[in-house]
Amino acid sequence: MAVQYIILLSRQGKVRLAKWFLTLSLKEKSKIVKDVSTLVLGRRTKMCNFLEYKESKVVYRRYASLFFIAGIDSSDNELITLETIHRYVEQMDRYYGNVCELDIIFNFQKAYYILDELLLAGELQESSKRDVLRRISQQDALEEAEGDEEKFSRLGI
Amino acid sequence: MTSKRILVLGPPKSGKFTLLKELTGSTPIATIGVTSTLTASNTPTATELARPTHAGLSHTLNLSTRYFETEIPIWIDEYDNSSDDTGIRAWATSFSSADAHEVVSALGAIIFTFRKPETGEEYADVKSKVEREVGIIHDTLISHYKSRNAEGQEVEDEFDDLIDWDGICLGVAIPPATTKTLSSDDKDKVSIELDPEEWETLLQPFGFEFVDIEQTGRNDYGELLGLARIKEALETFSWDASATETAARRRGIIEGYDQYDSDGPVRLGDDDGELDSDGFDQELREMQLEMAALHFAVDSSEPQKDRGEEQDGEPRPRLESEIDELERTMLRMKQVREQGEGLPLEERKKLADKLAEELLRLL
Repeated sequence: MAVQYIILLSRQGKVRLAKWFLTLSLKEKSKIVKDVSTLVLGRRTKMCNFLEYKESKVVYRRYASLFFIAGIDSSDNELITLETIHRYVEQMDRYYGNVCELDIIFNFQKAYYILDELLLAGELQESSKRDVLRRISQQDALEEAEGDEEKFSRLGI
Repeated sequence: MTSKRILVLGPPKSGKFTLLKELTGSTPIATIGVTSTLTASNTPTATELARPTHAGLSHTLNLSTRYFETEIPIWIDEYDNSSDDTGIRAWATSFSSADAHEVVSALGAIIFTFRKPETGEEYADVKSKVEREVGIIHDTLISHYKSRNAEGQEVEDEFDDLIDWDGICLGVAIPPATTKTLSSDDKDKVSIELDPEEWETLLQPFGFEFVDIEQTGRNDYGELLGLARIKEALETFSWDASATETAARRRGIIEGYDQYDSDGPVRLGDDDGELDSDGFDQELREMQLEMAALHFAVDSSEPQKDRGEEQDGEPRPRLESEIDELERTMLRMKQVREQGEGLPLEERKKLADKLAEELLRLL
């Protein structure tokens, strides 16, 4: 089962993250984002987390002031998608430490890196929570080391 | 400082000062006895003496988060409270003018305040009034952004919803003003509980988020409520970013940060926000030149045109077919090499000859 896209939408209707697993033009992407945003924001509390959009399905879940939205094929399993979304949220929570919208705005690259460790071509590629976090910390350590090296070289050391 | 501003708007006595007091810790100095209107140049115009008004006042909010600290100017505006909407429509007219465009572009957030209904009878009236007023505010703002996009700016997508505006829109319910004495009269001043979902559904189509300032804590989704939510929403806006930065950032986010545009090659490097079309064309031209040079090296007998001068359309299909050909050649070479691994020298020589023949045929 393949996720077609993941969108993070704030209560204010602002897109905080968009990851696409299929090739679309900017115009098509904007259209999907706009339509799906309108659909999801208009949902009431007790409504189902799954809805239909054109020939695909949209799975969403609200966490605090953010909507996590995933677009899937009509033949895909919605519940697994919901679990995938939840796994992503859990990973972000562990990484950022009580993640909030501001963390995702100001450290959005990390949000993408975590998603990239989790999903590849729209499929879940790593189910171990520990491994994902370990790789991201290794990445952070590398970045820090590179940053330090650059500083030293600039200082002429 | 080029920080954007917050506009606090509502009918008179709708709790604007209450909100400001809660948010900033102080209230602006009210001008008593002069009716003024917020104009494009932000200078009050004295009209006939009527009653104390808060229109045209300004204040400041200090926002401090773990990522930034900023001072945000606040403008306060109000319109006449009339049952037939003439007040808000007059405001809308003045705000729709071309002069007001500067004011609107300087806004980063709009906070609409209204008083909660005090009795059950008032409830329906308050609700429909709020809906009409927020609708008019929404239409007024949209008209500005629509006209601007029609003025020759590249329109990426249709701007027909406040959802496309980067600013924050909040509709804040303020409890009714109560007298300070603890007399039995106060029982009548207790406001009716507003069902958050009902009011969210009411305001959401206009792009406004409903907040009840009296609420505290978090809801079932773990979201902050009340004043804390207002602060949180205001913190998510980039107050100091310029319009071009915001537009570029927004486009980058929708594109998916992969930096892959389906119309062109993958952009390598460390640029994370540069979506400048000129730079893109230049890279495409450079890549075309490189491909031309490569092709020349592979097939030196044929004369080459300078593809760098041509734009889009024509060179691309030719370029793509050349890239495909080269890819096929490389793949074939790799296959042969893999085949040759482990074979004795004689066999390898035969394979190499075969490959050489194939390459010559291609050229």
